[in-house]
Amino acid sequence: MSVAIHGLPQALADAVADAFRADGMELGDDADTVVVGVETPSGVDLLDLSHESWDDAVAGARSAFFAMQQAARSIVARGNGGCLLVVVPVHALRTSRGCGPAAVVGSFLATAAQVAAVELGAKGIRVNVLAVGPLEGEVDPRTAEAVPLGRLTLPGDVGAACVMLAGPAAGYLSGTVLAVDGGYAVTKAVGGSPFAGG
Amino acid sequence: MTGAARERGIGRGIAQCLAEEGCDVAINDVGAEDEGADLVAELQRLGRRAAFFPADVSDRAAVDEMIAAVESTLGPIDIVCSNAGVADWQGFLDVTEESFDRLVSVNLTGAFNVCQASAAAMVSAGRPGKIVVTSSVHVQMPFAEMSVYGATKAGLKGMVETMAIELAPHGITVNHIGPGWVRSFINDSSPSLQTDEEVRSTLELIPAGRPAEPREMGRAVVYLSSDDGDYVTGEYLRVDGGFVVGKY
Repeated sequence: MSVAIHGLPQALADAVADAFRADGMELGDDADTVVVGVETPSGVDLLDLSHESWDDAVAGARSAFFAMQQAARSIVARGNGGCLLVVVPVHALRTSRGCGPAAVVGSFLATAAQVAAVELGAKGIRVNVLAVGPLEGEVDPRTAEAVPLGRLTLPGDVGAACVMLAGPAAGYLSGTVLAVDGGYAVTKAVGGSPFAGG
Repeated sequence: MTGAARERGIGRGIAQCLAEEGCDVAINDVGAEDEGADLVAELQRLGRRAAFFPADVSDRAAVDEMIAAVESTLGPIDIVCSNAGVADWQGFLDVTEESFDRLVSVNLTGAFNVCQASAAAMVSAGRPGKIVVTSSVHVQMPFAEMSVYGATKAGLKGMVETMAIELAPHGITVNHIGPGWVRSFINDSSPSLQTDEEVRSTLELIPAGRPAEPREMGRAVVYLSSDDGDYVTGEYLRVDGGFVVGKY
């Protein structure tokens, strides 16, 4: 049993790798569990987003999509089934000002993953999505006030969720979107009404 | 009004409905010059000003030129309908880079180009406006063999919702409509609609028992782009005869 990681921001990649190692899995290229992620620019309204930043976001989605496809092809070729985990920003579920690229790319990949789940289930491949909340160190600490659990997302939260979704406890889960966000996606404490100025 | 020229197209139905409500309409498409000219003449017979502006929405420079030309010809833009789109049917494992790039460049980057450029024109002029994007029931319903198409439409949802937040202070609303099965040319090549039996099977999934006509998308756009829709933004209006209900 081995795991491969593609495209995650470094802090997340390290935490996910640590979590899998702690669970007894090794990192390797011919993996039956593949974690695919993406980095997106933030902090700029879509009205002001440069064409280059848009193109970078789309390129990230493209890279992640074909990484998913390549991983699935390899798993199918080996014939023993496997698991794809697609890590997207929580803005796929709940967008906010300045998070347009994350919302677009996150929604794009989440839906691509769900279609993959539909098509690959019969081949023994589960595909699930993790929608990761605002990460500590990457956003204004006051954002934690909008998180029901009272703190920002830690990389280890994502690692633990990946291990769970890759393991036997999630053997009947496919096509689901798991918010790893302390409840951020379901609260409207910040940015609830665009007419109120975001 | 992008992607508007083709006969039996959703865009054409939207353009017709907006013109009937009193809008002057700029028709955009790639190719389809004859059909575009026919539509322009049809809208002019209604007493509206109309003109055809060929441009590839995936080409940012062409979009900028088009927006300037539309404002020069017809005046400031009040309503933008980003409708241009293309579809492919390929299994997830078989999606080619060529197909991926074609769908993303038109459906997603094209919509971004059009919405950003026209919103910038509205903001620059200090005028309120309405933006309506054509997405799809794919926003909610994953369809096998349409991973990239569905993903682009879901991406549009993210774009619309974010723009709704960011553009509200400028008096601009941003919404999207979700067509189900529309009797439009884009569905001619759908592999699930090739035989009478396949058509019957698909109709059984739609509570309304029929596909939509393109003009029914137009009526939804009229609502979202009229004064009646002033307090509606960031919304997804499905126009699908109940296709999604009970499934998602």
